[in-house]
Amino acid sequence: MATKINLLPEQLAVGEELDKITGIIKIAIGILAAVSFFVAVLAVSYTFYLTKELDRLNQENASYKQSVVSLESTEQGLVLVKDRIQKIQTILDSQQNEALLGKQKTITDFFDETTSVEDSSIVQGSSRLELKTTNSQSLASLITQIIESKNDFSKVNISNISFSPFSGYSMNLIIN
Amino acid sequence: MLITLIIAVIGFSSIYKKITTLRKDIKSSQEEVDLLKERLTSLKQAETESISDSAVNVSLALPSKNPALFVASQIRAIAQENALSITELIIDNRLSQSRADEESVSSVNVTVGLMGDYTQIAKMIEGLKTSKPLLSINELTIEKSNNTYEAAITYKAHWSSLPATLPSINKPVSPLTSSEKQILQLLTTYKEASLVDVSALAPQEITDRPDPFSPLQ
Repeated sequence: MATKINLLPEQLAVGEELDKITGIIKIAIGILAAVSFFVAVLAVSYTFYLTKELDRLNQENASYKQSVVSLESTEQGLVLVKDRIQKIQTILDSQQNEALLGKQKTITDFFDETTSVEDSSIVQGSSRLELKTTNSQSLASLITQIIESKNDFSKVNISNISFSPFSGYSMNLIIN
Repeated sequence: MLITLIIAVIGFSSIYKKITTLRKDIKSSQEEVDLLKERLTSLKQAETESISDSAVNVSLALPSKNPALFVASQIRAIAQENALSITELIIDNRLSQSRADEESVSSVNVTVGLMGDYTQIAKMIEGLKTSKPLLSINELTIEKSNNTYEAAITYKAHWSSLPATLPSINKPVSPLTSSEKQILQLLTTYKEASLVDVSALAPQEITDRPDPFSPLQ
């Protein structure tokens, strides 16, 4: 059986407590090294995975770009259509006089055979309609119909009504 | 041990930096892929919606050049359809407005004088309202003269230059919205302008014309 021989002088001998601490430190270093190694392996693997993922995305990106470029004529068409529609919408929205003309048409649609347009104008946003009728009943009926369809107009002003025994009734309307 | 620790710290920090950079690159790459996917979907959808036909349709409604001649032709054709006489037709280029600041839509004034029946004049106005190139009424007067009506209508004919560039490849392109499709649908119902052929009158031979220089009998 081998015998343990301590060749160091007694006063240099390591204390039992220090020996214990050294042991703990050694274990801690071991654990730390193992954890570090594990983390390092994980980090390298993760980096590898991320690099692969980036490559895949770059390839996907290039493939999509190629597909988009191959549809360039369609894209030109789409951009043109969108541009024109936006401008056409602006034009359609600014057609105030067409709306006033539509209102005049609503009134002329109420005319019977004794009523006719004498004069009509749409100038600078002001819409005026002069009509003639030989029959007072037609005139009354027309006014009633305009009142009944009041939702079609913002405002209808009768600026003038006159009667002549030769030409009949004449009425001036300002339509908004 | 201290050296090992320093090497480990440096190693880990460089790996951390590398990971951060890669994640940032992946994020931006993913965003770009998503944008391109969206753009491709829009373009494929546009392709199925026969966008080239729509492009022709909208270009006829709002041409890239002054459409005054087409408008004049359209006016003549519709007046003829409605048995109306054109008393005047003025294209006033001096009054053309260039609204470069307002989405670059320009317009030229076209004034037409008409004579005929009121109903036919109304039909003509309706016909021009639903025709291509697009017209807007600037001023209108209709007066009764004897048993016929005389109308003077000033239209604004619009045009606008074509878009010069395509959006950047990294920017999204949205497909046509429902309101845009509605306008397209509306425009398909509008009548296209066609140039009217004006045939030259053939020289006529006048027969039985007395010779002004023949001696008096």
